[in-house]
Amino acid sequence: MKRLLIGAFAALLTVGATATLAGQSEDLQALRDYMQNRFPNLAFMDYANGSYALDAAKATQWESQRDFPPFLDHLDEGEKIWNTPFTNGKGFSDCFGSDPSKVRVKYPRWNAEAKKVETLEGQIVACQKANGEKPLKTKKGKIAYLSAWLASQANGQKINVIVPQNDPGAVAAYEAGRKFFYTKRGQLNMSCADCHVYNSGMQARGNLLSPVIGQVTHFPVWRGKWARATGGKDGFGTLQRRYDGCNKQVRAKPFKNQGDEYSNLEYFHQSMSNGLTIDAPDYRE
Amino acid sequence: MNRLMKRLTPGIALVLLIGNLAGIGTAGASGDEAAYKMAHADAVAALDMAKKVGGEWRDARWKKSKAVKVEVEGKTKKMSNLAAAEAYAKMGDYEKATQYADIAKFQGVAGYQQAMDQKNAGPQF
Repeated sequence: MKRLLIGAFAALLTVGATATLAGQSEDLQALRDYMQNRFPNLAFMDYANGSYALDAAKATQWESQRDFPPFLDHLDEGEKIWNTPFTNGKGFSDCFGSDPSKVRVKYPRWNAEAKKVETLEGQIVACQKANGEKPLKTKKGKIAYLSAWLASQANGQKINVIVPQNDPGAVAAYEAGRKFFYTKRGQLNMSCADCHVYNSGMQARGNLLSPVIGQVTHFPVWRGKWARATGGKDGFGTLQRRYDGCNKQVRAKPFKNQGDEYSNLEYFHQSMSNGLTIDAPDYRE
Repeated sequence: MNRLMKRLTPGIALVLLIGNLAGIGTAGASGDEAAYKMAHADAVAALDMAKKVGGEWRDARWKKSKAVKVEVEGKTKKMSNLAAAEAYAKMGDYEKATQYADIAKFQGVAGYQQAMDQKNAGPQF
């Protein structure tokens, strides 16, 4: 009995330690294993298609939307913004490098000097400020066009967000993002994970809940819901605009766009799609 | 008895008149202003606590909340519970103002408690 108790205590300690010390790769593996169990017939690369990979009828509608993408003009505008010089003669390529296909895959990343997570949209704004330009708003509009164009240039490359395990700041930011994802909040007392892990593949009203893996491959996204709100003119939005919407849906007060909370969440969230191919922008409901 | 009534009636009427005149300044007011002020202060304190731990709810005092419809100067406006409390107080309806301040307070307390309960949130698999 004594041995049994000691054994049980040791096991509990091990479980506790695992829960506390689980790093990015352990989290990724545990999540993939969970999803594999939940959707045994879904190939890993198909997660990039979100809920459309789970419902053939929805997939048909989605494919027909993709035949005539509603966002091509906006992508052209994004390219134009990239190529328009600042008042001081410099341009975005002076901040991000001259090859636009190499930009999207760098973000989000940890900046050890600034001790914070850098996102693509956050760095677009930082670049504008550094060059004396009026910064773009970070949820929708021109920043989404530019970010979507940059993402489209990176299509076919794999998401690979690396959390440097030897940098306590980076690990803490990742852990904060992970905690945010699993924390219940708002009047409905729901976490991101409640919908996109434990109930992924289930219906929430008319929506099929997408699994967390693969959610970021197509951002900035063109959403039918957002487009309808503008009379069909503009359905583009950034990933953090979507976070804002999710928080509002569970009746929590949304956090500041590009603030630490959402940027840390993006760090964790994007890293859970490591290994999947960027295919952006895309249409979603 | 009749004589007594005749003498008392003008006096009672005078008292009632003075009472009514005193009420002119707060025409349409209902409820207790002091109780509202206390409820409002409690709500703000509770919401500040929730904010500190990232636990504020959408409709407690977020300026973009559309939770409560209030008729202000002939127009229907949508606002948070705390803003509704303040709007009703401005209109002198302290009863409704106190009700909405109490809701905002409840949401602050619950948001804080929720954040505390979720301190060690993590995957459940």
